[in-house]
Amino acid sequence: MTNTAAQNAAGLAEAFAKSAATTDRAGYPAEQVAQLAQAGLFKIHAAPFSVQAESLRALAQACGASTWFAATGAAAVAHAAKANADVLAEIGAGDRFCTIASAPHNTTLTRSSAGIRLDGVWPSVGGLDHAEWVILDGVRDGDQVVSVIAPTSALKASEFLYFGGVRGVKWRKLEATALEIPAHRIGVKLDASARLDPLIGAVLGGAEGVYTLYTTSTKARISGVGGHAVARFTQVQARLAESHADLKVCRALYAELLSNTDAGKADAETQRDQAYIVRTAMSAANRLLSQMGAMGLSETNPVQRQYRDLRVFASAPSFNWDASFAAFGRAELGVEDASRAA
Amino acid sequence: MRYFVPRRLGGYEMDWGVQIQIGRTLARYCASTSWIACVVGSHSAYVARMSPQAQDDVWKDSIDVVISTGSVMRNVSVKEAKGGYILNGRWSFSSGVDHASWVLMRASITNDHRQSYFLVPRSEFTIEDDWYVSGMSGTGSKTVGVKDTFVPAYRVISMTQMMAPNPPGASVNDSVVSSASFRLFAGSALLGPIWGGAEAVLNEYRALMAQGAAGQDVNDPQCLLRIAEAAAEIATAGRLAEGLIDRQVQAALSAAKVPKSERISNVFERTYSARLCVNGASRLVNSLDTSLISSDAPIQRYYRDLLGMVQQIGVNWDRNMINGAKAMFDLPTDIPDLNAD
Repeated sequence: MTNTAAQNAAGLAEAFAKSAATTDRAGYPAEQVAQLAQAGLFKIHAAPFSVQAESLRALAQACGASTWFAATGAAAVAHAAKANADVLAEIGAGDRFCTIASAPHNTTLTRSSAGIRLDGVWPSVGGLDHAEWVILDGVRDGDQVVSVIAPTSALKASEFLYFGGVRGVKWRKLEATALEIPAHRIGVKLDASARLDPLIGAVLGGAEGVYTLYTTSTKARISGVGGHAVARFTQVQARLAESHADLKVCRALYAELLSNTDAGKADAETQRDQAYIVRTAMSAANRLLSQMGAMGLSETNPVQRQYRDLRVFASAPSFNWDASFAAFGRAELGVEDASRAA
Repeated sequence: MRYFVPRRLGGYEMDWGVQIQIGRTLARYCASTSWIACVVGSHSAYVARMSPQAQDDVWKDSIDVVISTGSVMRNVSVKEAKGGYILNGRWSFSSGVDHASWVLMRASITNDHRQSYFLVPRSEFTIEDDWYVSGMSGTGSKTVGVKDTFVPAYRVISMTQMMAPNPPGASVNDSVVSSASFRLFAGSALLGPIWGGAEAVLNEYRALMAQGAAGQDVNDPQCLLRIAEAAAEIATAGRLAEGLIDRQVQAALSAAKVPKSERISNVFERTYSARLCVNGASRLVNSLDTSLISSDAPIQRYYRDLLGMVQQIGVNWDRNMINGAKAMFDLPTDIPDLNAD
């Protein structure tokens, strides 16, 4: 079933690409969330790593918001599955979308006879319009940090001015005030430390999308100053080649990463390669967007939209350069702890 | 807006460079404000070089007027008419135009690369609501257009005349900015906002580190190295900008001919200064995780604004570096100042 889900992702991509500009502006439609669910994309956590990554890659080539919903929905189900069967059933077990709130500004947890009472603020949470449930991560419980699952209707969501990526998910500030949470909805914290993450497919797919959109646009583009065909500029041709080469390197490393990860290899070198893919893919995309000049700033420019969505995926904590590269260095040098002495 | 308004009209008639320092300071807080104050504010220097009659038209009622420019042309045409010209066309990226009383529109009378500035009042141009951008959205750099607009000859000045020493305005204004070769000052006004914009990112990142934002730890040597490297890059960019501006001012004061090699170097340094600012800021922003990237954290805006500013053609890497290198071999370039000996 999960392999079918990956094929379905590729099948949905063309239609999602056509609606990407609209959903970015007006918000992600319920019908597309339902399509993602029907395609099994919220249940891919049990599939091999490569299937998860390839599903996200296919979506990311087309539409950032679709990718975000699939990745977040699947991560939520994966987490609920680890918590307990009741919670998994409550959030719909992947038949419905469940969102995740992380990196709270502050949380206060008070024990009560029925479970806990929670106060906290999560500054940036997406997908709330389509989620009955939210996993509230980063809740401080004494010396520990836990996550809890709560109905979105019990929380206060408010809008804020936002100009970053993946706008279609409608980022909002989420507040919990004296929120009662029964004990069975309390679980371990989501593991957001540096690790192998299928979202790497979204990064590669997002950068590939930038390349495709840039190439299409540049073939037809006339320079604002001088009125020349931009495609005829030698430096434009060379930069395109540089980004193509970057993406080729990414694809080679990515293929090896999928193969290693499916085979159960999750060592420091694989983790390092993952971070290197992200940086190289971003480099490819940055170069192309910069080459567009002031036109690259325009909000209606598809390359700009694809780029800002890519930035969100590339900033996932699991792709943290410092952690990934220092971990490889430690492994090479036989140092076990993460001492920070200069 | 009074920086270069003639003193005889109540303006400040300042030395070149002061507005750049003001722009730097403002950009640490709001790049769009800085851009309007520094870059758009510098347009008064253009008008102060035009005919006295044109200056009177612009400043007769107020010396606090905003003067925008239209440089990127779309279907622009000029026809000669009795006493002036009939102008048609559209110009993109006219910063501050919502508040502008006048726009200096570029067009070619001879229908070739030789251009002139046409000074057009607010009553004669339309504004298209088309500035929806990822950075510098506050500048409102919209498209302006004119249709069969008559521009009297005294409100037109060729680029050659505008840039040469002793333009028409020098007959009534005393300042060096009004009388020296204007090419000496080319592009440097951009550097104040860009430098300050990079400093805004640096300052905000430092605050995030101090707060212990995700992935940013004051005890982590990697984070410390990152902020040190960025601070060094941005400070170096600033030193380059200051040196460049100082040389520009000294050259204007001395009225000495600036050797071609130095003019080439000025273009390189201006462009490289902007590149260093972006490199420093990018180094910091690229290390932020999703909790900041998908938020309304101020560093987001500072960085987007910085990326927006460096798209200005005056600091465009390819254009300036390639043309500068062409000039090294005495090849013709797209930068007029580099074509002269």
